[in-house]
Amino acid sequence: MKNWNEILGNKRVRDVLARAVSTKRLHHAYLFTGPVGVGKHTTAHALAASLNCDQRHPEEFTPNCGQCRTCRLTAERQHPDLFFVEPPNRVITIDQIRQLQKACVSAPYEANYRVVLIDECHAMKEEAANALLKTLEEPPDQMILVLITDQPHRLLDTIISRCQRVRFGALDRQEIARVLPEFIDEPVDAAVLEVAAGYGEGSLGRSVDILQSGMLAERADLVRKISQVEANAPRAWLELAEELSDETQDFEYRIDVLTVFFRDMMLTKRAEPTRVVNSDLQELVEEMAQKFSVQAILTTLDALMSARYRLAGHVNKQLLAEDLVDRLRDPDSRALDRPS
Amino acid sequence: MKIRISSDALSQELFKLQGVVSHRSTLAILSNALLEAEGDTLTLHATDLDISVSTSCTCEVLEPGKVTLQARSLFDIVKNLESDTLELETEENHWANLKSGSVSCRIVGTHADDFPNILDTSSVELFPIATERLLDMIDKTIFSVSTDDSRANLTGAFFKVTDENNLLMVSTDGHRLSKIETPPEDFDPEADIPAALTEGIIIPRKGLAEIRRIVDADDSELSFGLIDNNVVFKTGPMSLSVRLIDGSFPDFTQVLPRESEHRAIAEKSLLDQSLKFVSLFASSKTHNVRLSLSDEGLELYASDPDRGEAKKVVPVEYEGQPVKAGFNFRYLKDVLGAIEGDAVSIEIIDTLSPTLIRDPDREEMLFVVMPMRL
Ligand SMILES: [Zn+2]
Repeated sequence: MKNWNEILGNKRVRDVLARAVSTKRLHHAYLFTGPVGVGKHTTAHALAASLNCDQRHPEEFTPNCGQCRTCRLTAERQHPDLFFVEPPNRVITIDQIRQLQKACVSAPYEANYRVVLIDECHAMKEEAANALLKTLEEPPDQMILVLITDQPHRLLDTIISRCQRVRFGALDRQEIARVLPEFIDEPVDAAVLEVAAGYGEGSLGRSVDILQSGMLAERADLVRKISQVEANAPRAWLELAEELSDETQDFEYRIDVLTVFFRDMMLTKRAEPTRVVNSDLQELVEEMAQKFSVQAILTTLDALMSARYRLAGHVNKQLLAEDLVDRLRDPDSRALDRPS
Repeated sequence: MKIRISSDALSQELFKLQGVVSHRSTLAILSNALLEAEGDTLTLHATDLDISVSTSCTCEVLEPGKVTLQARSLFDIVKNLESDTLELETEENHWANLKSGSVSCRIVGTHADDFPNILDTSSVELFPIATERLLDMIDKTIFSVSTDDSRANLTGAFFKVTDENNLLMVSTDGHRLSKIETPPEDFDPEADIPAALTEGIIIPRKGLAEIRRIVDADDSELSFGLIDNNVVFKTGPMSLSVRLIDGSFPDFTQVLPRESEHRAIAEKSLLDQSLKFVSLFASSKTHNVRLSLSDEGLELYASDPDRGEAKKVVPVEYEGQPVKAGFNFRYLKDVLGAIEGDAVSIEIIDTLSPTLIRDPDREEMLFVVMPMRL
């Protein structure tokens, strides 16, 4: 858990929350929305610590000290007045909501506030959401509920309307690159950190994931393979499909890596190289941009995005990979700029 | 921390903690007990956040200190020791070394600060209450405490000091109600009773069950008091505090049926046996048994389309009009189980009204059972 003051980005959000505490206008229920990996959970967790910190100012908001017993137990998720709900298996069950309600009938055990964090709250099925509504309608004193989601459209309107909504935005790319080293074990080249920050598209979580996946190191190989396999060598294409879809998680990363790379090729073609994410592979981007027509790049991006979308559902990933590869190799739609 | 202690004495105190240490909580610390050694005393604490137990025993403190240890494993180890002398010493990393006779072991522990704050009950104003009286009140009411968490105020027994300076305990789950009102023994009704007690408090079921489990009926000295929304019971070195349920208990006097002019008095053991027999034929869904009172006696009847039907007539003294009503036989069984006397009185008013059941020899308590559709 981060200390309140060390949280990256979204300062406006933290100012709003801090002011609500200082002016004693804290709501019973907050809905934190925004992209994955921009600090929604971190902010809620640090808010819990700040509200209950042993060193807090009685009248106004003070950032958690990070040192006292309460801050320590809160960070370790072992504080008796901190309650976490998260989907164990893609779904938050009604039993989890009932347990939460049972735990919250009485006043906080020892803290100033009892804080409940419901992560991925869109994973509540209707009956769980309806059970939670009861708590939202008659919130116990000294309890703060924080619902967290990147998919607010999947929530019941009745839930949304009973929460104070707090919108989190994307993080700054330079900022992400600056803090990334804290999340990885081995030192990484500054240029690669920049690239990872670019891949995250404002999400620290996604930047960390892509960095840890090791896919960034594979980038150049992957792109070369895609561009080099002969259009009329079906065996080679099938092998490539197999390689691509090796592990579901990695397949996702590979698609993401290719997507960003092809987007960079497009930017290069349009002479907007400053926005290129793969800045460390500038030469390769330019070389590839020479090889592909604008139409071919657009077709490829389209194929990648639809594959990424379908991968989120229940699909046979091998078949999906073959279909993707097939769309990439079709010489007409790929419209390779062949040297004349 | 380093102590030398009798394993028997320690095992006795550890037993009292076992009901509240949890094994499934996401808060790992709640499966631990806090041990504090100071002076010549070892104090032990355990809590599930709703119920906390503290107790102590004398020991030889070689080095004062405190630590938390897994309560269940500590109990399992200590109760099985052959030698009565146990030496317990903690290491820097809070692990504990146990040595007794030829046995030695190390168990995992954590820093004492990790343990939830303990309610200080030393300044609580205490009122003595006869142990037997309290346990009896619990026995007469605990079975009809609601288990439905959606109505939290019914998931405990209502307890208060009445205007007549009696102790009252009531429980209801909406289908039945149990009430006992008894003059306090040992309890000084002239004392300055806190307002919360004259208004009434709701003690959660688990708290009642835990008192029942660890208070020995032979313990003569029991006293109780209120602090910070907790009721505290103290006996000997042990104190048990229970977080009260917030909310108000429904006005149960509305549910109490008017007294019937005509009571049916039956022999309890005979009624109990007859109910056991007839209930074999009750529907497994509704558990419905019909009771019909007339000058011929009390007829018990049950039927289930899948199994058949049965009836049995129990002789009773009854002079009123013929009446009948259907009941969940489990509720009747619970009431019969709570009555210790030889006789039981039943007052059925009509098919729809709640029925009153009592022990004719103990008018201070009564049980109400709501009828079901016949
Ligand atoms: Zn602190």
